[in-house]
Amino acid sequence: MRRTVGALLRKELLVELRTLESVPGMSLFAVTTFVVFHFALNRNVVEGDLAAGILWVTLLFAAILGVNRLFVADAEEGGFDGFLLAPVDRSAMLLAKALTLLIYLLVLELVAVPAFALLLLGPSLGHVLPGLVGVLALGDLGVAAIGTLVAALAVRTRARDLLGPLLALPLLVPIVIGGARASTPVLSMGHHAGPPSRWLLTLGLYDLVFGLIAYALFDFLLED
Amino acid sequence: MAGVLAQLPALPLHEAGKYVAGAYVVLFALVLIYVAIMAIRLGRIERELGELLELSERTPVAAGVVGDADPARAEPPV
Amino acid sequence: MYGKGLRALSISTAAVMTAALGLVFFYAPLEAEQGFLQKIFYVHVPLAIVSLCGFVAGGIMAIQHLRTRDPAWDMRSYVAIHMSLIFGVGTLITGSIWAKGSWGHWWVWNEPTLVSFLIVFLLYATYQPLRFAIEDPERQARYASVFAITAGAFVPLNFIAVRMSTAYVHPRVLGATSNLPGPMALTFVVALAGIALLYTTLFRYELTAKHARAQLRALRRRLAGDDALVSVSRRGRSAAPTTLHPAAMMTARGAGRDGL
Repeated sequence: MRRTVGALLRKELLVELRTLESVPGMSLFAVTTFVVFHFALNRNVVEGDLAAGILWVTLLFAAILGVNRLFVADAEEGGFDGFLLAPVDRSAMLLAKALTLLIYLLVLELVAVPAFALLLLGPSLGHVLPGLVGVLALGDLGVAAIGTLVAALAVRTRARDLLGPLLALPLLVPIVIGGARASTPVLSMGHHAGPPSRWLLTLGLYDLVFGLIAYALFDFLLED
Repeated sequence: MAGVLAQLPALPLHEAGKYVAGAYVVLFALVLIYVAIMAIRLGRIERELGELLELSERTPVAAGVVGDADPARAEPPV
Repeated sequence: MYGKGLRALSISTAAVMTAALGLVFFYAPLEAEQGFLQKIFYVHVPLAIVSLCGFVAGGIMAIQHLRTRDPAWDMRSYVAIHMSLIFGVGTLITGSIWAKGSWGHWWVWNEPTLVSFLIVFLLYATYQPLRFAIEDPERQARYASVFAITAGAFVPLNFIAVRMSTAYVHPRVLGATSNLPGPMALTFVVALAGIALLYTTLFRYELTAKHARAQLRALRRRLAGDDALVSVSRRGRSAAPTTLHPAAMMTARGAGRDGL
């Protein structure tokens, strides 16, 4: 199992490195969205819950772009059939794809968070980073689990680019709630506040439940 | 909590009545719309049954032909 | 087979709902703070509870479908979700009316029931488009079941998350269901029973109608041969599952592949 996941993961990352079709687009989208927010809100500097909101919404929509593209190559070029013929545990594909999405999100944040600090954020990056890392990590896990499940569900339907986001956004609302509420004290000027543990716990629990659900249901999407 | 509630006006009957009536009318309307949809469906089912009855009288269906739909053996309509 | 017991069910629904209405307007005392407006509580909260339970039940039926591969379970799951969606719309509308009467706005963000219902509604509104977008009936049922299970698990978690996000910010005004005095509690329980019976009756009713149509379709196919699959009374495709037996589903699948 571990070797299968490793092999699949290596394939995914190799394809991404060669074609560069997901991550640069996601990162560019995030930076552009910050610019749009500047004009839409007419603010030069944001902090507190406004900053948390802008950051999480932008990350969410950039993540959706990645989710949309996650299974497209497999669906169009027969990757599913090839995988089904191999004598391996089907959950390996779920794990590999979820890890891929997680890595994409981490790279996205490596670009988006400094860009956010540069363009819009009030408190300095060094000030917010320690508290923010944990929240982002938990949020990313949840987005990866739900995003992979929804991507697999939507990829072989007729309106896949539309259905993917429509399915994913309501399911991701609790992550936005948890992420934004946890980030708000971290992104505020003044005192060095950590993220409230209550919200970190909620995020962790949500990630766990949906990770298990995705693991249990993924096989049913691959039969064919 | 009691302090916040104390500031809420307890609407007098003639004003609150409209809202309460509206809410119960919504429930009633949902059920009635469903009854109407079912009535339309019942009409369709009846019509389709009639067509099938007519169809069964035209095409002679031999006894024991259950699941046997070989078109080559179907009798031409009389 | 589905219509059995429908008469007893509908009679008891009518009886309990009439009793509930009587209790609401003639027995339950007027609440001190909200006055007559509080009576909406007896319709809004039961609708919400029954709708939520219906969504979760739809998820459980979907689990059964994935386990047994029996299309009847998929049909039940579809109908449960469909009915819950309608009851959910009722929840949103009655909640909105209550908000207008209490706060003067048609929508309030500080009422967690209403907000989480909005999110749940937006999620389940994608159920039909999802089914519609998959042609193959067997795959459609399977994918729909995966969705129903995910969404069914989401419903309680979402409720908790939204509730957590509104606590300590605004005091909840509309939803107080804990520590109800005696007569109000009785009225509430009867109203809840009435709405639950209504849901069950409509659920059974809908299943019976769908089953009847599926049987008609099978009969038509048997009588007229393969030409019968021209859809006569359906204007356009429907997202609903149309077959109830695995054998019939195989036939439908075969017919679908032949380009009909």
